[in-house]
Amino acid sequence: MSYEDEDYPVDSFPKDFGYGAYDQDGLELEPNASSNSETKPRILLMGLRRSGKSSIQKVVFHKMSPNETLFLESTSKIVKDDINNSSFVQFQIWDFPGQIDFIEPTFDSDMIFGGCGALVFVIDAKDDYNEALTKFKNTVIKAYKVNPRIKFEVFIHKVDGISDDSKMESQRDIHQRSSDDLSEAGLDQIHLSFHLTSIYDHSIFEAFSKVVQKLIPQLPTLENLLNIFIPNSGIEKAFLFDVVSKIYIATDSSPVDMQAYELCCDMIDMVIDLSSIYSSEETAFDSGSSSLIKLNNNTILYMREVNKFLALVCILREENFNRQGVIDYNFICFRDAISEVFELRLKRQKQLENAEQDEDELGEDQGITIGRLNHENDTAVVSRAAKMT
Amino acid sequence: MLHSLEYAYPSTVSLRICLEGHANALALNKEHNQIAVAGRSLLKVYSIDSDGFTEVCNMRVGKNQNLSYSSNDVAWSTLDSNILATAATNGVVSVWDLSKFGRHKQLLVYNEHERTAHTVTFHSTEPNILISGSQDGTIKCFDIRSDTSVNTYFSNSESVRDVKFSPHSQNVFSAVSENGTVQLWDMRKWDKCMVQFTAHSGPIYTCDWHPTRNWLATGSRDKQIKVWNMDGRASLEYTIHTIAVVGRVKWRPERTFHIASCALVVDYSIHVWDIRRPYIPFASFNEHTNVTTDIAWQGSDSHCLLSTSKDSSLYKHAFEDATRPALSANAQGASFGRHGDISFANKIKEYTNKSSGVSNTKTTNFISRRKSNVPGNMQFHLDHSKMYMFMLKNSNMASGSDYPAHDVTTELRVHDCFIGCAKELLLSGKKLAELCEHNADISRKYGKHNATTLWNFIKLFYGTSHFEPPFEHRSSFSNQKNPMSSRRATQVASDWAPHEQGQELNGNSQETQHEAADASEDGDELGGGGKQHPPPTSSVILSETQIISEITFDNFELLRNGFIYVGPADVTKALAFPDTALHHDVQAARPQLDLKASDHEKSPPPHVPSILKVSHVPPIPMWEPHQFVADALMLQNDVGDVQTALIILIVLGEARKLLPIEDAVVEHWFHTYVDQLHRYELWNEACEVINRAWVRSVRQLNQQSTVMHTNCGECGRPLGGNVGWYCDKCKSMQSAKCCVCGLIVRGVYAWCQGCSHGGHIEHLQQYFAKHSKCPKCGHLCAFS
Repeated sequence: MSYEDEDYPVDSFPKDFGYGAYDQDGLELEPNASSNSETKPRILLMGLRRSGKSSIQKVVFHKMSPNETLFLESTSKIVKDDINNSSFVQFQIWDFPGQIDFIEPTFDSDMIFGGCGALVFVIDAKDDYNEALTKFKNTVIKAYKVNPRIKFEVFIHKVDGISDDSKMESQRDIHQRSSDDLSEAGLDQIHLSFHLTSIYDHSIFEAFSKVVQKLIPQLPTLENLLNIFIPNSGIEKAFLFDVVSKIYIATDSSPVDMQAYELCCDMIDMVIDLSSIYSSEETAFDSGSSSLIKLNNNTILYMREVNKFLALVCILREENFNRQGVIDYNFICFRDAISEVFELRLKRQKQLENAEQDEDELGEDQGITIGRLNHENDTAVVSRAAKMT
Repeated sequence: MLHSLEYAYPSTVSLRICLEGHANALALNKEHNQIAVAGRSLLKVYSIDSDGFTEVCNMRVGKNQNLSYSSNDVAWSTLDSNILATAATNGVVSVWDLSKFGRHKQLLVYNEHERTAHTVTFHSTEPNILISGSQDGTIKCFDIRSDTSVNTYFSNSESVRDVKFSPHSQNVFSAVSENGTVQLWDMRKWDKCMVQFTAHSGPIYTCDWHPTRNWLATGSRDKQIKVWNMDGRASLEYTIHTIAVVGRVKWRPERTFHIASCALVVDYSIHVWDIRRPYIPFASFNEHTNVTTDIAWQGSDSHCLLSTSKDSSLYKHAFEDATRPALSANAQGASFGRHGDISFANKIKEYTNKSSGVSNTKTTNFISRRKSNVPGNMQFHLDHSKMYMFMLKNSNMASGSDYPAHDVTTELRVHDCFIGCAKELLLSGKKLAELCEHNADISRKYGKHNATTLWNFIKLFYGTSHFEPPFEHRSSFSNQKNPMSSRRATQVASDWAPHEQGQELNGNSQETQHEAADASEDGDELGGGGKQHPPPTSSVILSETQIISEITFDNFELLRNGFIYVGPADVTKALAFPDTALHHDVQAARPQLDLKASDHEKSPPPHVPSILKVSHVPPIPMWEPHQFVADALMLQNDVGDVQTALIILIVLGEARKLLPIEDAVVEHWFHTYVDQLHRYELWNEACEVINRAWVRSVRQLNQQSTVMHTNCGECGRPLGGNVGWYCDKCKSMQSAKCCVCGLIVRGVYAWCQGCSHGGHIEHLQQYFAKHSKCPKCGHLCAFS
C-alpha cells in the first residue's frame, strides 16, 4: 500500500519520544490485535494537516508537555499508531495528509471503519474550516456506509487562542454547516457531537473522556456503581481514571467540575511520577498503589488502584474521612463489582467464541447481556455497602 | 395577601432538616404552603408556617434501602396537591401519592432510563403528564394513568440536565444538555426537536422560563447566565457573568428583570440579579455554609425565597434581609488613557455644590473636554452619574497643537525614522570618532535619543584607541584568584611600576580614574545598570600579603561574620582602603601582622601605620566597557532597534572583537536588519550592510540567487547547456571569444545584454573609449 512506503524521505516525529511503548505494526497484524483486545474501544483520529492530531495524541497518551508539541514535525504520510498495551483505551490514530485521497481504491475502508468505534475529526478553529468541513462530510458519508454504528465526534480544536464569543460562534457555525451538509446528503440520522478542545488545558482530556465513555457498553453500570459507592462513603465526587491517558472512564452523575477534574489528573501524574522514582521496575502503578492528599480547604483527594489500567480518585471532605475503614471497605466492594463486570464480559466473549458465532453479532449481544446481568450485581453491592454505613 | 403581611416584618426563617445527607432539590405545592425536599436519603414534606417549618410527611421511614428513593430532583404536581414525582440516581422516576399510606405512597415506578435521571417536571395544565430528563440523553414523557412511558425524545446529546415546560405555549418544553445546546420540543412530535441551538461553550445545568415574557434563562459551567428571546429564532438578550459554575436559576415573580441563581461550587450565596446590570448582583443571601443545591420563590411572592443546601439546612429567606452588593460598590471610577488622559465617572450627589467644587479643583490642572450626564432612569442605575474626560494640558502651546498630530502619525514616524536612519547613518569612511558624532546627530535628528546617547558613548570609549594595552593586562591576570600565583603577579605588577610615577600619584590616579569612570556612567542614562555591576576586571593587584593584611586588619568584621575575602580585588573595596591595604611590604609586614593582630583584638578598629615600605604599585585600573557596551547593544536590540545595534557594531570595526557578543547573535542581527531593509526596498543600503559583514553566511547573501541568462551571439538562442559558452544550436564557440581581439576569454567576460556580444573587459574598455557601437554587429551598446 502506498502509505506504507518506508522510502518516503520525510518521516514523522521520532517514535521513541513518548513514554508508553510504541507498537507500530503493519496492517497485517490488525486482525489479531482487534480480536484479542475486543473489550477496548477503538478510535480513529482524522483531520486536515496541521489541525493538531499528533499534538493531541502526544499530549493525551504520551504525557508530552503541550508546549513541546510546537516542535512536532508535520505528519506527511499516513501514520498509524497503536496505543493498546498500556492503556485501557485502545487507540489508533490515522493521520490523513491532505493530498492523499482516502477514497482511492487502495484505501481499505472496510477494514478501517469496520472495526472502529468512534471517529474523531479534528478541525482547527483558528484556521479557515471550509476545506475541513468538505473533508469531514466525505469522511462521514464513507464511514457511515461501511459502519453505521460508528460515533462521529468533532473536536473544534485550538480554541485556547480565541475568545469565548468566537468559540461559540464557530461551534455554532460548524454545527450548522455540517448538519446541513449531511442532510443534503440524505443522512439526517447521523448524530454529530461537538467538543471545544485545547491541549493547553484539560478540555482535550474531558472531550476524550466523553468519546471513550460512549464506547463502553458497561458505562451505565459503572456509573451506577459509582452513584452507589459515593453517597455511602460520604464522597463528593469520584472519577474512574484510565491511568495512562488520564481520561475518565466513568464518573458519578453529579456535574463535573473542571477544577476538580484537573486536580485529580494532577494527582495521578504526581503519584505515577513519584512511584516510578521509588519503585523497583516498570511497575509504577500496581495493586498497592494508593495515595492521599489533604488540601488546605478541608478537602481530601484519595486515590486507589482498581486494576492495571484503572484508578479511582475521590474528592471528599475531611470530616467524612474519619470513617476511612468504611470507605476502604466500600471501595473493595466497588472494585470487586468492577472486576465482575469485566470478567462477565470476558466470560461471555469466550463462550461466544467457542460457539463460533459471527463476529458482528457479538458486539451488540454483549452489551445487552451484560447490562442486564449487572443490574442484579448492583443490588448485591448495595446491600454489602449499606451494611457498613 | 396574608403572606405578604406576615413576612413584611419578620426576618429570615431557617430550619435545619435531617441529620444525614442533604437535599438535592425542593418543590412547592400549588398552594405554596408546603414544601417537598428530596435528597439521597431524604424525601420529606414540610408545611411552611410563619415561624418555621413543620414536618408533614416523611416518605423514607423504615429501613427501605431502595436506590429508587435517592432522588436527584423532585416535582410537585401543579394541579393535584397530593401528587409528587422524583427522579432517582439509578434512572427511576417515581410518582408519589401523599394521600395513601405506608408503602402505597409510592404510586408508580418507571424504571426506563438507562442512566441517572436528572430532572422531572409536571405539565402546567395537564395533571397527568410529566417529563423527565436523563444522563442517557433521552427525555421521557409519562402519563400517570399508564405504567410505561408515553413518549421518548432522543436529544442526541450525552445527557439532558434540565427540562422545563414553557408557560407560554401548551405543548412546548425546553431541554438543556451537557454539550451546551438548548432544544425546544413539541410534545406531540417525538421524532425531531423544533429548535436547537448552541447556547454555551460548556455544559448547561439549568434553565428557566420567564413567567410573562417568552424568555428562557440558561445557566452553564462557563459561569454565565444567558437570557434568550425565544420568539422565532432564539436570540441572546442578556448575559450575566457570575463567579462560579451556575447550578440553578429561577426568575423572580413580579419583577421582569430579576433572576435568582445559585452556584454549583465555590460560591455558597444565592444571588438575585438584575439582568440589565450583569456584573454585580442586585441582592445576595449569604446564610448557607455550603453549596446551595436548589432554590424556589414562594409562589408569586417576590419577597420570599426558599433554598436548600449541602449544609443540610432548609432556609426561607426574606428579601428584606438580603445584602445589597450593588449599594456597597464603589460608585466612582477613573481610568488612564494612553496619552495620560483621565476619564472619571461619579455618582451625582444631592449636594451639587460640593461635587462641582471637586470637579473645579480637578479641572484646574486639566482641560475638561467633555461633560455628559447619563440619565439614570434609562438603565437600572440607581443614581444619576456624570462622566468627565480630562486631557493633559501642555505647557508649551506650540507642542500642544502639535500633540494630536503626533498621535496620528506615530506609526508613520517610526517608518520614516527607520528609512532615514538607514540612508543617512554612515558605516565607514571616516574616523571612528567622527562617524560616531555624525551618527549621533542623525539619531538625534530622528528623535532616537537612546541611540544618540549610545553613539556618544561609543565615541567616548572607542574614539581613542587606548584599549589595546589593557586588553593584554587582563589576559595576564586571569589567574589572580590563585594565592600561589599572586606572588608572581606582584612581580609583574612591579615590572610595570616604572611607567607609573609614584605611589601617592598612583593612588590618586587610580581614584581619579574610577571617579572618571563613575562620572561617565552617571552622565549616561543607560549607565544606570552599569553601576550595579562593577566592571568585571579590575587592575588592582593583590599580593599574598595584601590578602592577609586585609583579612587581619581591615576585614576583621567580615572575618568575624564568617566571611573571608580572598577573591580578586573588588574595586569598591580597594577604594575603601586605599592607603592601608596597598602599603605593605612582605618582609616588614609579617612580624607586624601578628603583633598588630593581637593588638587589634583589644581594639578592633584597625589603624595601620604608614611607615611601611611599599613594594609595588597597582597599575591604572582600566575599566573596560566591553561587557557594558555589549549589554547596551543587546538592550537596543531588545527594544526593537536592531538598526542602531548593528550599525554600531559595524562602525566599531576591529574593536567589536572586544565585545562579548556571540557570533550567532550578530548573525541574527544581520539577517534581521537586512530583512528589514529589504522590506523597505532599501536595496542599496542592504547591499552595503551585507558587504560590510564579517559573518560568512551574511556575506554570501549577495552571491546567492543571482541568475544571469546568456544567449548566443550568433543565433540569439539562450545558452543553456552544460558549458556556458557553447551554443548547441549553431555548434559554435563564438560566445567564448573576445569580439575585439578574437581570442578565447579566460576570467571576466564583459557582455552586452542587447546584442549578446562581449569579450575581455580591458579590450572593450579601450574600444568603447573611441567607439559607441558594437565591434561585431554595430549595436549601440552602452558601455558603463
